Amino acid sequence: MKKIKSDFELLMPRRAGFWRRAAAFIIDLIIIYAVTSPLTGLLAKGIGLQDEFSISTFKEIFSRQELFYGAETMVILVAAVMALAGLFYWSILEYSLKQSIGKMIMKIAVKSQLKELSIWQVIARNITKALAVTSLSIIFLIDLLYLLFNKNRQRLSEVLSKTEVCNADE
Amino acid sequence: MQMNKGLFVVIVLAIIWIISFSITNIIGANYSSENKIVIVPINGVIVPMQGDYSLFGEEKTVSSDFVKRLDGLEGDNSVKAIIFEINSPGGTVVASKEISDRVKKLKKPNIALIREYGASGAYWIASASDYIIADELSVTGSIGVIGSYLEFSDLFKKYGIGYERLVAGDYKDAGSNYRKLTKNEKNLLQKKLDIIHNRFKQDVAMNRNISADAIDGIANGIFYIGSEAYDLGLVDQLGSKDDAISKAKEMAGIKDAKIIESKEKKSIVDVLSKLSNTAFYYAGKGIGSTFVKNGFNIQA
Repeated sequence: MKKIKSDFELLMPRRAGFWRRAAAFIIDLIIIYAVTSPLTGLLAKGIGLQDEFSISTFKEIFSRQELFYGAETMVILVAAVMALAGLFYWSILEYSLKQSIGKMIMKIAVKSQLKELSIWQVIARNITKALAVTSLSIIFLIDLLYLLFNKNRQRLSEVLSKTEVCNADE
Repeated sequence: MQMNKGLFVVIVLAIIWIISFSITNIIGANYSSENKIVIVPINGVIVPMQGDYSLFGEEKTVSSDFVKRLDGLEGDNSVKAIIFEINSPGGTVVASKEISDRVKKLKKPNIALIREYGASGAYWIASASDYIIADELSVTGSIGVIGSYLEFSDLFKKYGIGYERLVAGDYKDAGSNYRKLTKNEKNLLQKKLDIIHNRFKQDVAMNRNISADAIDGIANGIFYIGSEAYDLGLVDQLGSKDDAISKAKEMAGIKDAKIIESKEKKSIVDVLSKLSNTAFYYAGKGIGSTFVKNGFNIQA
């Protein structure tokens, strides 16, 4: 028997599912890597790779960690700028349009649990994601694990920033 | 409205690209022209695999990891010369030979710096480098092969423990800890050690331009103090790390270089995983196989 939706359920957009959100995140990451490609190219040259940055560059970086002793300042600088670029990308787009490009494609959007979505809310919800741009930080993993075991499908930083991600097509 | 949304996204992406491009130019201008001389350590026993890693045990140089590291340095344009800082008594034959062969193939100027000791397999590696600098009081040479092992048969007899010999192939248990070698077996194993020793000698003689007669006189397994090794032509110069760095710059034809002490970075996760690997490895190995490990084992 088909379940009849309550008025509340009909009025409130459903929270976006994990895979939809994961796909949006991966699309955004690809876009961030593409627009920060001058930096990743520098990273590749800095650790002495002959070719330009490619998909295998990160593997190369981690297999040649000893060279970090010579390039660590540069690596830290590049990582910091890339993380800031990620924070800028997600925060500006989500604050202005409620969606990043990945979210537009996956038809999901950010919503505030308060009256209006403020810039501080979007910055707070995107800090851990920005850190994940350059390395899979433990903070991001905790954030992500919270989403997996949370019935409201919110990351820890979303709970703290009082935001959520809902389906935009309903 | 849709057009404005698209335009806004393009502007945001363009801003990020312009910022990253500008920062790249600022950082890159300071960085890209830097020459590097990398000091790679060869510490402890030279082994072929990571398996024998011990958290509290002695240091080891793993040949497979080492070769990979040299591949990386060879492909790095900014690395102008490599210094091998040796503090090793040698190791297994194959591991020492693997590293020696790779060092010989290096296209970049490379120097072996023997500090405390660079003996046997470690000297084999040093001989493959372009230039050898040793401390005058270092221990080097020891060009020989050892296959000695403990044999417990008399001890076992004393405690009434017997060895039931069951083999297909007469020499299958030659070198067992539980019985004495026959004269035949001793000759056979000695011949194998001689084959390895000859190869070791040939390699050193070729690497160091020493005549066959001269190497026979030198390569009798005795170790030499740095100053003796210099007189015998086993090292090119007596000196310190600073001398090695100066020589590396000279060989690379550069005046200034950033000196990088290359070391393997170990995170807490690496240490813990290796520790648990070791625990499981020894648990599975058992007491019996620990005895076998003490059997015939060739080292250079």
